[in-house]
Amino acid sequence: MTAPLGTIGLPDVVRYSGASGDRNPIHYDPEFARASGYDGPFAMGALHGGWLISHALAQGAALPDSGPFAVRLRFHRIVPLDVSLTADVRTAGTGHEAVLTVDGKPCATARIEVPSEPAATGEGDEEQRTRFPVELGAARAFAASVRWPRPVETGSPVPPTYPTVLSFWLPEPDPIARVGFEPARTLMGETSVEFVDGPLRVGEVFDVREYIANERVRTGSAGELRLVDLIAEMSGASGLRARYRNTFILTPDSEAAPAASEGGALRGSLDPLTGESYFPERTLSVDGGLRELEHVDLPREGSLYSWTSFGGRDYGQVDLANGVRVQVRLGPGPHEIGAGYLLEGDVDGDWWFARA
Amino acid sequence: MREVYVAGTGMMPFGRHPAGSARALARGASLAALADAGCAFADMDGFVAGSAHPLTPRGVYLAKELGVTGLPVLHAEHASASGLAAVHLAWTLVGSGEHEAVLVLGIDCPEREVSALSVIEGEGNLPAPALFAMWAARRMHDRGTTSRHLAAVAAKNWNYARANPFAARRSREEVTLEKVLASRMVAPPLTSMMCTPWGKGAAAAVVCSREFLARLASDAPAVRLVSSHVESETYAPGHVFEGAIVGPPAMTRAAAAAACGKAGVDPRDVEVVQVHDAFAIEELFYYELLGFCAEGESEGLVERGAFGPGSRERFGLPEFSTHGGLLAGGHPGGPTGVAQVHETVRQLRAGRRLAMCHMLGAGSVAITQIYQRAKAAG
Repeated sequence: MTAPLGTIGLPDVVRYSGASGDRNPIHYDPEFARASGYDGPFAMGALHGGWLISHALAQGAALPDSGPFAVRLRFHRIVPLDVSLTADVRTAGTGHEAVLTVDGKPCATARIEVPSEPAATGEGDEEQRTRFPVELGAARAFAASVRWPRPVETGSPVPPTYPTVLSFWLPEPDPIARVGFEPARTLMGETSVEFVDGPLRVGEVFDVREYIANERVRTGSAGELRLVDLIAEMSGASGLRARYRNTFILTPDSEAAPAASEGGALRGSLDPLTGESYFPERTLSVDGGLRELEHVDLPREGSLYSWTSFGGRDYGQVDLANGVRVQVRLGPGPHEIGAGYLLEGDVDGDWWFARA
Repeated sequence: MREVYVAGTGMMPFGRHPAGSARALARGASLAALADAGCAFADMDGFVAGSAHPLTPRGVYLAKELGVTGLPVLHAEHASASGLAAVHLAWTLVGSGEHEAVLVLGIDCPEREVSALSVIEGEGNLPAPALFAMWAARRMHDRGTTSRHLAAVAAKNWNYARANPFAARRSREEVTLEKVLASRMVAPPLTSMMCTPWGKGAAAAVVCSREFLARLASDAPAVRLVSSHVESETYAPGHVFEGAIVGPPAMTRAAAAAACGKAGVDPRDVEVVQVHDAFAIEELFYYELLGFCAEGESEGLVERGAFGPGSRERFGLPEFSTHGGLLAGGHPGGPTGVAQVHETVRQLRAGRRLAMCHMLGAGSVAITQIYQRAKAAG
C-alpha cells in the first residue's frame, strides 16, 4: 500500500545525529555538502531507512519475537532534505518489502525476511571489541528519531537498526574513518542486520566484535568504485545474537557522485571483426584469437527471455536489442516472457530491468 | 591411453553431518572402496581428492588418515562436478601409464557451517534455484512443459532413493506427483521437492590399470571406465557471461557426444544414466542433450513413464538417476560424482552393460563418462 511519509527536515537530521552518533557534516552543513558535489545536505541512509522500517511496522509488518530474521536496507539514491517522501509496503517472500520513493524514483528498499541461512560469525581485519549495553535512555532517544511506533521500556525490543549507536561505545567510533574512506566521497550502499534469535532488547548487554571485510572494487562509467563492509557481531551468553553489516561505497574522485547521477548505459564490449557485443565488458575476443575489443554502450531495452522469483525478489534474463543476453534483477511483476523491459536505476550502483 | 578400470567403490550417507566430521567421512568412504576392491591403501600409488567447498579439509590432510606413505596427492575442484573431475584426473593418470592404482575420494564436509549455496552466490552468481527456475520458465514457454512433468521427474527420483541406503531423502511412502507439487514453492515453478537438499558426505573409488585389477582376487564383473570428457563453455549468441552458474544447456550435448565418440559407443546402447539433476527441470533437457530422444520429446516420454524403472525394457531408453539422483540422493559438491560412479558400478555388476555419468560444475563445465561391464580380469 502506498502512503505519504512526510519530509525529512534539518530538525530530523539533528535529532537522528544526536541519537545515533552519526556526525558526518554532509548531512547538515550545506557548504560541506556542496563542496562534496551535492546540491545540499541529504538524510543519513539509516534515518529514512529507519523511518521506512517503522512505517512498515505501523502498516502491519511484524518482526518475529524469537527465531532468526533479517532486516536489510538498500540505498539506491540519496534523499535530499525537505522533499516529499512516499512509501509502499508489500509482502514479499517470507516477509515484507517497503520501498521509499521521491518523485516516483526508488531511493531505499527495506526488507524484513526470514533468511535461508542463519547468521554466522566471520573473519576480517582491524578488529575492535567492546561491551555494548542496550540502555533505556539511549534506546528511547533512538526510537524517537526513527519514528518507532512502539513504546520502549526495559525488556522491549529496540529498532532493528539500533546497533548504529555502537559508535558511542567503540574505541574508534567513526565508521568512515575505520574503513579509511574520504567522508565527502563516501556513500552508504547497504545496511543489514541479521538476528539469530529475536530482536535486541533494552537491558541486554552484548560483547561486540567489529571488523572490516569484503573489500572489493567495481568499475563504473565514472571510474572505480571501492566497496567495503564494516561488520559488528553482537554476542550474549547463548552465542551470536546479531550481525550488523554496513556496506560503504567510495565514489570516484570526480564532480558528480554516481549515486546522485541519473541513468547511464550498461557498458559492454564490441568485437570489431564479428560485430558481436558482450556484457559485461571484456578485453579479448571470445574465439581465442586474442583480438582486443572496443567499448560499446549497450541498449537500455530488451525483451524478457525468462524469469522467476526467489526469496521475494524477481530475476530475469533479458535479451537486449543487439542480441546480448543479461541476467538481471527485475522490478515488481507481473512479468511476461517476450514483453519489453527497460533498464532502470544507476548502472554504477543499483540497477534492474522493469517492464516497459 | 591404456585401459582403465574401477576396482571398487564405497560411500558414506549423504545428508547432515556435523562440522568436524570430514576425517571420519573420508576414512569411512575410502575403507569401503578399498574393501570393495580387495586391496589396501599401501597398494595405491596415487590419491586424488575432489571437493568443492573451500572449508572442507583438503585431500592432502585427509590422505594421512589412511596412511602416511609418501604417495602423490592431487586435488580436483570443479564445484558440483568436483567428484567426476577427480575421477577424470585419475583416468588420465592411470591411462597414461604413470600410475597403477589411484584412490579417488570425493568429499564435502566444511569445518564451519557455510552453505554451498552461499559459496556459489559469493562467486557473483544468482541463487542456483533461481537460475534453473528460469530454464524451466523458458521451456514451459517454448514447449508447453507443465509443473506435472517436473513433478513426475522428481517423484521418479525420490522413489528410486527409497532403495538407496546412502540417500539424503528417503521417503517411507511412495512419493506421488501431488506430494511434489504441494511442497513449498522455492522459485516458481520449482518446489522444494524439485530441488536438491545439498548436504554433506563422502564417496570413494579405486581407479586402476588392467594389470592391477588382474592381481586382485575379485570375482565381481570388471567395470571399465571407457572414456571421460570435460567440456567448458563455448560462446554462442545469447551467452550469459555473468551470474549464470552454469553455461548453456547445449554444453551437455557437446560433452556427451565427445564421451561417446571417444568410447566408440552409440547412446542408444546406454542402459543406465546418472545426471546432474539438482533441479527437476534439468533431466528434461538431458534426455535430449545426452542423445536419448529428439528435442521436444522429453515431456511426452515422461508422461508415458520413460526413463524410470523398466524404461530399458519398455521404451529401449535408459533409466535415469537410479540411486535417487541429486534431487533425493543429496548433493555435496565433492562426492556427488563419485557416488554416481558407485551407483554405476552397482548397476553394471548387477547385469547392465553400458552406463553414463554426467555432472555440471559452476563456472562452468560439463563432465561426462562412459562405463562398461567387461569380462573379469585375470
